[in-house]
Amino acid sequence: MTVAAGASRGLWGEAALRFLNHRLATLGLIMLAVIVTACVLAPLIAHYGPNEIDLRGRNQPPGGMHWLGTDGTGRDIFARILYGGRISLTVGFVAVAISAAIGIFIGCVAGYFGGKVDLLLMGLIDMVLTFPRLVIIIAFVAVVGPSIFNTMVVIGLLSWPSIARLTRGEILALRNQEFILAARSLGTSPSVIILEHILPNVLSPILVAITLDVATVILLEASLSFLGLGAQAPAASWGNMLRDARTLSILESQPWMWIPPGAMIAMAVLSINFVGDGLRDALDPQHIMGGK
Amino acid sequence: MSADIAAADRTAKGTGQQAVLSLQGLSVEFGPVGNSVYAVNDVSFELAEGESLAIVGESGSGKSVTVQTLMGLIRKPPGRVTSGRALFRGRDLLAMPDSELRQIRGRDIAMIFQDPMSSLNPVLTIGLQLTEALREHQGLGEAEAERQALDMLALVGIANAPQRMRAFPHQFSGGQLQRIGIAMALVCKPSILIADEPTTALDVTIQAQIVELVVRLQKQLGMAIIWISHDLSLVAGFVDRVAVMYAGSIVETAPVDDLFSATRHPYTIGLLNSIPSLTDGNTRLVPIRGAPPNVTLAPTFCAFAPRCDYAEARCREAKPRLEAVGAGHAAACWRWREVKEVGRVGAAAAQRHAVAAPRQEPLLTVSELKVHFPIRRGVLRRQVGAVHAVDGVSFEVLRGETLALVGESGCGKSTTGRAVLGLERPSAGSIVFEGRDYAGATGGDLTRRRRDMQMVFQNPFGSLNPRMTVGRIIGEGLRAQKIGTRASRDIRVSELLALVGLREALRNRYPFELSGGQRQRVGIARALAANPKFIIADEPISALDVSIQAQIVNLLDDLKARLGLTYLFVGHDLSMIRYLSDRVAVMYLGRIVEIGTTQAVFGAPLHPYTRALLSAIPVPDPKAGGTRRRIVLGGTVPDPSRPPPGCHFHPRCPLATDICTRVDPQARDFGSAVTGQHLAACHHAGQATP
Repeated sequence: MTVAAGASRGLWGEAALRFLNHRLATLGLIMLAVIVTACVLAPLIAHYGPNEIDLRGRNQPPGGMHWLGTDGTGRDIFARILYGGRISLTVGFVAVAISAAIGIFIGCVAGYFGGKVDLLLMGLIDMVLTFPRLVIIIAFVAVVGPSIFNTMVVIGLLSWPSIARLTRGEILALRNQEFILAARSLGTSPSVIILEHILPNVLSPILVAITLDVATVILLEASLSFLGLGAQAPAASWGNMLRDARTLSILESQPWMWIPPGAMIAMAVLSINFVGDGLRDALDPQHIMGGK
Repeated sequence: MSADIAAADRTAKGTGQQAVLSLQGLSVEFGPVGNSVYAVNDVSFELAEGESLAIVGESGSGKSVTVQTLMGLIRKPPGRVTSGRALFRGRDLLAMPDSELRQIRGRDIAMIFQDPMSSLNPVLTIGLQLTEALREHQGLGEAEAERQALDMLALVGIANAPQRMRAFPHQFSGGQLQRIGIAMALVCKPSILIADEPTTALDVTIQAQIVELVVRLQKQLGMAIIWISHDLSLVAGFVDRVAVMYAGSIVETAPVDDLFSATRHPYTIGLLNSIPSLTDGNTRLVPIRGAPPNVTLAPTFCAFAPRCDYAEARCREAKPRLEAVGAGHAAACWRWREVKEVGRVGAAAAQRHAVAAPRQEPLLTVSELKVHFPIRRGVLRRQVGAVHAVDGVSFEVLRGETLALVGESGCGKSTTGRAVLGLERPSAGSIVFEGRDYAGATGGDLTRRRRDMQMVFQNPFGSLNPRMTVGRIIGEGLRAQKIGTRASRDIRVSELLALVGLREALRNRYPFELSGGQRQRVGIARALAANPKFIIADEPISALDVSIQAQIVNLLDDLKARLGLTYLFVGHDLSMIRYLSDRVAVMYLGRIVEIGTTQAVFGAPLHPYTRALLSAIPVPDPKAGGTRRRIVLGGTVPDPSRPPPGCHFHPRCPLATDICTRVDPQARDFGSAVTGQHLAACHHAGQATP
């Protein structure tokens, strides 16, 4: 029933087409692209530096010189949002890259080789999964000192088990497929089998999980920064901007100091989740069969 | 027109027979309007009380959709019934509300399915599932329902029924589950039983048991049967009438004897010609050319025309309707009057390659091969036992011959093939290929062996990586073995495509764009890439449609002659194996029980298991069905982790005596100068079966 597909756009090409037909996913992708571009180009867009203090213009509401107003020390909120976004997004992407690299590697090894190796690695995974993530991060940061770098590394080192588990499960389902057997019988080496035969076939669900993980990590970084354990003052991140705005008087009378960072976190997480859902639909073979 | 046939049907069955089910002009489409799959096109038939009708067709022919529509089991959307009526005792099943249909379903019309495991609920006991239907449809009390369920279990031959009522589905074997599936279908004593390929997932000896059971129950309960199958030979033995479907339409329907003796439709003829004959092994199979039909085209022409030898202009312009060609016999072909049977013998040009007498030199010698899989339990993964998948197997494959390994599922035939190639590690024994022992070889040794030895796999869907193009798949072996340069490998891939009869244009396609037959050709090309001498074919045709099987078998045959290959052919389809092998080894529970030349094993089988296996082969001839003596084996294959002592076959053997339970029989040679070596491992080999 699927045979009539356009000559040979390739399977990934087909998936890309399905993705673009998914309205929310395309919206999410555009939103995310806008946010990322704005953060990357922050020096060109913002008129102020993130830590530039305008002593005469403290606690100013939005408008005029400062598009989104200023905070209690007279720093431009708009500039801090953009520069803070750089940190929040970097933490999100880098931490997930670390956890994905570890997770996929361990999942592949455990799933493909099985036996004692698998038993050992699954033990490790179960162990790491029992750690309460937030508590460990707080303890770790307390020991080595809070910084963006430490936050990224700790989150990365603690978040891989779910991806490892997913990868392993996918590979177990795939390992006994005849085409893997055929590759072995042709004399293909294990590394080539994993890279050419297994990974491309398990990538779809992993990609979806990774995408959704980015959103989780952005939230986690925000919580950490809010607790004062992430990005350290004076550096801005969306989380510690919220932290700076946590007094009752600010919450009540100066909403421009907490609405923008809150909205940015929400928008980033939402757009990433849209992209993730779109990917899931585009890459899922069942959707390929029954899709519209 | 349909009235015409209905009338013809009635004359065939004897007038006065009331039709219990009358299907009139059913058409079913799937998918959105304008982009439909035409699954069923204007199908009509009548089913008389107590009659058994077989609907035969290949995958995608619409046979299952037809009966599922009757039962209200197709999903709407995407399915749409675009026309037709289905009158059950005068009431239209297609027009009645769901609640009413549910009443009829199960009580008056019941169904058994292909996969008994998935049609039973795994978390409920058998007893609960059996009594549920009785209580719902007949309003019986618990005790009465249980009594009837017990009776039914006993009727379908489940021993120890009271205890088995409390067991769960996974505690039964496949054959037993299908019996339970039948019991569930029959508890309410329906007047129609629909059997949707109920034996396709089962072994041939178990298939024989199930067919026998259904035929006996039909007589006892006086119900009508619709038996859906892809296997014309199977149904030949026990149904009254056959309807052959192709691309959603019935192309021929006739009383079973007429269908085989006075075939009128070219497609039916083609099907019969693609089945190897059991009596005449040396004529080449005549496959139906081309690929399965495209059911996305509106049925405005004869769907078989592109593959038909009789096709002419009008076949491509207008669709022929079923017209009566004899008593109760109708065919949908413009040229049925001119169609004569293309007899296999008549096709003199199609003589099989004169096989050069194989040189009597072993290419491969396997001795005392054992493959045991450890069973581990507990936290420490201690080994508590082993599955004796292959348990001391010895055989030789001579240069240039085809040796077939046959047996039922779980007998170790595939594991043997994989161990020879080094995909499974042997626990003991030797595998000598061209003078070198490769048992337990690793690294470079293994790679070297794999240049000379390759495998063709069973499943044309699972054996190709869905994310690789055809060209990359075929060239994989060359890359893995680092043979040639990129350019020379490209040229080799083109050669291979041509060799297996695929167009060069397919090189950049992905497997999902190919038909099953094309995929299997890709699998064969991949195995041939590095010019091996020896091919292990692991059930290479069992997942293909009948008309495509013959194409692939002929291809394997041609390649063997052209490239001088030697084959180890693993399979369970005995008529195909008889056709293409020189020698046969019959396996049972990890051991070879009989091995000899194909003529000797099929002509004068010595081991009682071989005899039972041979007698269970369906014959594409309704007349032979009655006269042939079937040896129906009781029981099922035992658990290979706890094989019975002595002869593994003795619990099911009709000849077993005391010695068989204690002493494992050694293979003895019963061959003569004429028959060649003919070994059988049986204390009573050659004795007449009671």
